[in-house]
Amino acid sequence: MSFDYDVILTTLPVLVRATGVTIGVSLAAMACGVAGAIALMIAESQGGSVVRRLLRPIQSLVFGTPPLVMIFSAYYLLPRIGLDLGAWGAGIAALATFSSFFLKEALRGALEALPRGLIEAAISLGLRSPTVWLKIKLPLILRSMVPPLINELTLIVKATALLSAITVTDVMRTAQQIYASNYRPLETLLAAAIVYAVINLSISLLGTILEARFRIVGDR
Amino acid sequence: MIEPFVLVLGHLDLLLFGLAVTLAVSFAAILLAIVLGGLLAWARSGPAVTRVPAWAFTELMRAIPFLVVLLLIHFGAQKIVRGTPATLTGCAALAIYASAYFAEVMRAAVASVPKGQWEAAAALGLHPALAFYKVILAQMAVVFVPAGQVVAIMLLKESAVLSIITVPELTHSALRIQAETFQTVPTFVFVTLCYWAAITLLSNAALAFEPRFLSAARNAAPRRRFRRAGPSGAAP
Repeated sequence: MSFDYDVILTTLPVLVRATGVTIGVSLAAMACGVAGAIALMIAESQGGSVVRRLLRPIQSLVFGTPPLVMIFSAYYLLPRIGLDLGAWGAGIAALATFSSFFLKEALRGALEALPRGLIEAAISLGLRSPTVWLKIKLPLILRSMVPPLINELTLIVKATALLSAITVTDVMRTAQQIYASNYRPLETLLAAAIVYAVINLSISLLGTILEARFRIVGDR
Repeated sequence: MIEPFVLVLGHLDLLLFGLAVTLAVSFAAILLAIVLGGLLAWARSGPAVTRVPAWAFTELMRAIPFLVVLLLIHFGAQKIVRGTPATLTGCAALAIYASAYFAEVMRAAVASVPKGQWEAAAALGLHPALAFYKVILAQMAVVFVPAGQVVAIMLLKESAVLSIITVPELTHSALRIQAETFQTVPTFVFVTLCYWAAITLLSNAALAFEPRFLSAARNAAPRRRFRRAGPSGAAP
């Protein structure tokens, strides 16, 4: 069986229709991941040594688990503890857990890079801790977070392909369904590769634009 | 409470075999990926004929999910030689995928060595290859080891995906045991702990090399800092 370019062209539209699922799942995981990362960061910097000591082994475990194993664990284990989120929910939960810990590390770096005088000035003006977080720290941190956030989003998009293993019908699973019936895995997978490359290269491009837009004046 | 764990430990041979396959495949892929990454980094420093394809390859590998790369290489290999073992194609796919990341790390590591080191080596009459081996390699290791370690850990984690093309590694063992015994919780707890131990070991492995590299960096020629001509901040 020779290589057939027409198969790429005929499967592309079907795969493009499945990008909705891939992008939707990625954005949901990203949103949960960012929220989780902010919560973790605030807990870590305000919660004292008990919280820090509790978080360290959890973080080590999250960093030390392959994404696929985490996804299978969420898919099989969460229903056992009475949390049946379905394949989508389990997948998003697994991806969000990863990115919240990764992003927390990036956020912490940005937090430590904030000029101390700025925070001290806010406190001396009589602002309360929640106000300092909301009005001073978070806006500044999030502005400097554009590159790591974009990086994380491309990693998440790549990781969503693994959700095909737990029956989420994203681009990857659609491709697998197509080549299961047309027996042309190479052409179909090349089409999927094109779709993923276009999504991720667009995200990088968006990142470059956003980075220029949100750069803090005087920074570098 | 204990019983499910005992049931899973009855399959300990399968789990340990899976762990051995995971470690062997990852180790072989890391070595191969470093070699391929070096070639890619070298191609990136050459003329446009080699630079552009190497750049395009690196960008594509970083934009496409590993699962897609793996299946493409697996099915591509089946097309050329029917019945190529999945372990072989899986290992090759891991190496090819990670080589793009290693190439980037290597480029950054070489760039971290001051240009004067190359020029001094050339002035002494060293061939570029010899200059790289004798002068640059030890100095770039300071940057390469910690960053390369991150890529190696990523590769070890991605090796779990090989279970999808039926490589008998750790995740594959877990899925098999889980299907046979229906003991999901202890199986995945055990497998997660195995990966965690392997990755923690790998992330501490480079610490053993660090004193050597650091002393090499200290013995290297001191980096000269060039002052800017005007006072900083007074740019037009």
